[in-house]
Amino acid sequence: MSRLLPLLTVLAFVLAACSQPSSSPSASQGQPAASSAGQSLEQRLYEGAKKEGKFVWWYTSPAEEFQKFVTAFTTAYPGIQFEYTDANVGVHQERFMLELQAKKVSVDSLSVQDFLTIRSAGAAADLTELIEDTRFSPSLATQDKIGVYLTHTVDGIAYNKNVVPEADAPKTWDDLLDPKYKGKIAIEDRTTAFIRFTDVPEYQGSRPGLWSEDKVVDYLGKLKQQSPRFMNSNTTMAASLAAGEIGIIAGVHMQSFRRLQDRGAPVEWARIDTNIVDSSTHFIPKDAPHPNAARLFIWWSLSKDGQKAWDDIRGQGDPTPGAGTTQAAYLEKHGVKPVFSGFENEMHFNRLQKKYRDVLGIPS
Amino acid sequence: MLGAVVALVAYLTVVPLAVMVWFSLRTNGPGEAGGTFTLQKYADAYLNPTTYLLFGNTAIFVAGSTLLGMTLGIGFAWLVERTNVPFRNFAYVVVPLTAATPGVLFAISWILLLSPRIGLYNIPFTGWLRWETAPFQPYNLVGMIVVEGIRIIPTVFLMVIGLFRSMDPALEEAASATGAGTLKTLQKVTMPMLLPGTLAVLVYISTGLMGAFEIPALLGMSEGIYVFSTRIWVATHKMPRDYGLAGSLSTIFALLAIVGIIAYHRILRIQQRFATVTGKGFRPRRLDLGRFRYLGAAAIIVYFLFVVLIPALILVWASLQPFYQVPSAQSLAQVSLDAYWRLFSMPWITDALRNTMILLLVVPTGVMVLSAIVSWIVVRTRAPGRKLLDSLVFLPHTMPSIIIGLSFLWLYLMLDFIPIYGTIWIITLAMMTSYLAFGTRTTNGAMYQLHQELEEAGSVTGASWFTVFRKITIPLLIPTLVGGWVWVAIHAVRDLTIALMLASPQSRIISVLIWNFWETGDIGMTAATGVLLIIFIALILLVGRLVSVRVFKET
Repeated sequence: MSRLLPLLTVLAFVLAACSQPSSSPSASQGQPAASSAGQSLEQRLYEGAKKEGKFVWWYTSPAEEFQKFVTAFTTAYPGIQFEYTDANVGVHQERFMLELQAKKVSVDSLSVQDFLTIRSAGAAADLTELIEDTRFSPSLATQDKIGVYLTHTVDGIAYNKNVVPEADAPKTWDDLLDPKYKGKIAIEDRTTAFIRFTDVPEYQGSRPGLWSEDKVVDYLGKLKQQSPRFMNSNTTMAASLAAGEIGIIAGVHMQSFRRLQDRGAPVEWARIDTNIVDSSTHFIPKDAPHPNAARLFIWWSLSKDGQKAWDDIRGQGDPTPGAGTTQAAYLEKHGVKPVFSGFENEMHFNRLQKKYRDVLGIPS
Repeated sequence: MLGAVVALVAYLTVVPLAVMVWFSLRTNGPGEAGGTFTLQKYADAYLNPTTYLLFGNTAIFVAGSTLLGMTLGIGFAWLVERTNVPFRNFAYVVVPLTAATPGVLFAISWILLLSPRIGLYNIPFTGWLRWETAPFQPYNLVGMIVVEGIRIIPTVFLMVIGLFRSMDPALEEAASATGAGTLKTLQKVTMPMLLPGTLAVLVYISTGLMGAFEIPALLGMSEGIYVFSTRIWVATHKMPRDYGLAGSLSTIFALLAIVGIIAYHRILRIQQRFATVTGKGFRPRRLDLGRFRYLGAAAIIVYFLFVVLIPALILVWASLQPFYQVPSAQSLAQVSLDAYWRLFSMPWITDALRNTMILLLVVPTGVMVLSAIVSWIVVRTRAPGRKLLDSLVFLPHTMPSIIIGLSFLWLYLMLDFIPIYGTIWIITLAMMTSYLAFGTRTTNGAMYQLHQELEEAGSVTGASWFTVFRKITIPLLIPTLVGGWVWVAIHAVRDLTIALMLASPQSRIISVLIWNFWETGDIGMTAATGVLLIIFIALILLVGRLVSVRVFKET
């Protein structure tokens, strides 16, 4: 038995030696590929990306969807190792800011919760060349062309048909204040949908259909009387809805809901007056360790093939009527009008979140 | 050598705590430059009325869970050890079984059983009897207390069983001889004798419950019910982060836990005066319960069915569904192994398994090796700093896991020249720190029982202290080391709180995967991963048992 302890110790050290080293930025901080006569931008970026060998992406998505992105991108551009990290956008933001301060950026492209902070830090690379080359719609990029909107999250109301019969389904947001729904409603504790619903001064009235801040506060105060449950993620809410544990979700992401509906869950999207659209901003850090791979990924995402792949995988394509995406078609079928929130909303995100959580009684 | 060991232990135990206290007094957070000293964070925390709601919730949760768990745990221990209840050997096996279930899975299974609309235990009332309101509700303080109280039954049972086994029944026999009935003997003799030991168990359990996380997180947060541990977690994991609040709450929390552990040790010293085990052997006396023994048997069967078997089955059921549905003929038709296939097709599953294996091998090995060395110094030497060393290794036991995790997070954000932040190694170190107290209590006890003459014989023949330690002390300690290794291994693999504070996408481990799948609403994957983790833990127990049997046969 005295042989057992050394054996265990050796085994432990062997395993330790075999473990992956901690993540660290790539040693090769390459530069974007220089122009070469006769080569398209895509080709130049691909040549540069192959030399870099790797692309690192931070995003939030179920594992199967990540795999589809990997397959789609590496099929189009073989020879590039695709590495991804899954966490929510808040976690990505914090980690990226820590790495930025330490000058050890390890990611090539990501989406964050508060793009304003990224912009203020001057941390995002210019994407004008990519937007123009792919003829991507300028309305789906930030005005300064340092961020692009690759996905559009539609927030609305969904219900379980076994808990809330279709005849009783809400038709407006105000219907949720009906006492018959008391105890059946769930809201995401980040209150993101209601923040996006808010008409901020910077819009200057350009987005009819959104609510004033006072109206949202008043609404949430009344909604609190319905004893809603607060859940910490859209997908958890959707799963609880599918299971019948809750009857209605106020402010659920359509893609979370549709995944379960596609699996046969007895859930339905409410045909209400307004759905809010929140577009997530993707960017490339200026100090991305693999700049060509990063730009190639964004180029691909903005191209027709890439947009179709994003729509097929995430189901979050442009929901504007007539856009031809699955999301636009779904909204048209349900007779729901999308209202877009804008990037300017992010300037008020933290303030509004604290305010709305206070109204609902959620600790901040 | 003493200096080196003290330095290492102090680095593992004191430094993280000091970092936490430091940042609770600074205006800057970890990773941020500049900053000044301030008490503002304490003022913000303790002048805020919601903090006192937090105190209240935590006190009610701890008191209620302790009361429930202690009552049932002591009750079962008494039935098994002191009565002629049928199925007591069966009870001895099944009552502790749920200890192998990680807290997050325990909470999930009870959500699936008690949920007002879909809970299996509510369906007979709401579905068949058409009650308007479900009788069971997990998402309130009462629900949290019930589930946590049930969860601690195995720990109470095993600790109190030990008390009963060390209690000479002669006094109870004397009472019986004078004509006292079962209840009177229980009231006047048994319970008073057990009181100090039971109090020690109560203090130990309630101090541990102050840091309980999984049940309050899954059952309380969605209803806005926060206790200390969940409030600290939200402050460090939800955007925007509030490290100041986390630090100020954690400092006071740690102080309360220290008070609890000091009380625990004082009671343990009192308990020694009530010791009735002497060098003479004794046979435990069993009370004849008469016809009430069938009531006792029924309680054991009910416990097994409703607390052990059905919760396990509901997890397996959830793992076989495309989305969670209440068991029915319709949902039976949708049973598939899809969640398991998806789990094993994940590209990072090998990373998660490898990282979990690293924890499994390195944490218990490191803990027990260090514990053996520390115990040898504390018990066998007269080195002047040995009492300080013994106190240092016990310090983490006073710190709830969430505070250990937070302390390590901040420490290694600061010490970025030690590149373990975001890796499996920061989790490994934090867990080693957390379990050091258990390891040293175990090896201290074993070391006290070893007679020194064997080691003295080695020294007399000229062997160095290291040779004596390696060739005599360690082999004699093997049974204790193996038992301690298995306990630490199981806890390291199923630990969530420390791992959740420190895990990153580069350090995925199985327990955090379970949490992540739950957070993303994938109940099938959550349950599938959980079932595999439970099988993994069962294998550890089995291997540990086989090794122990071989060890005892060979020594």
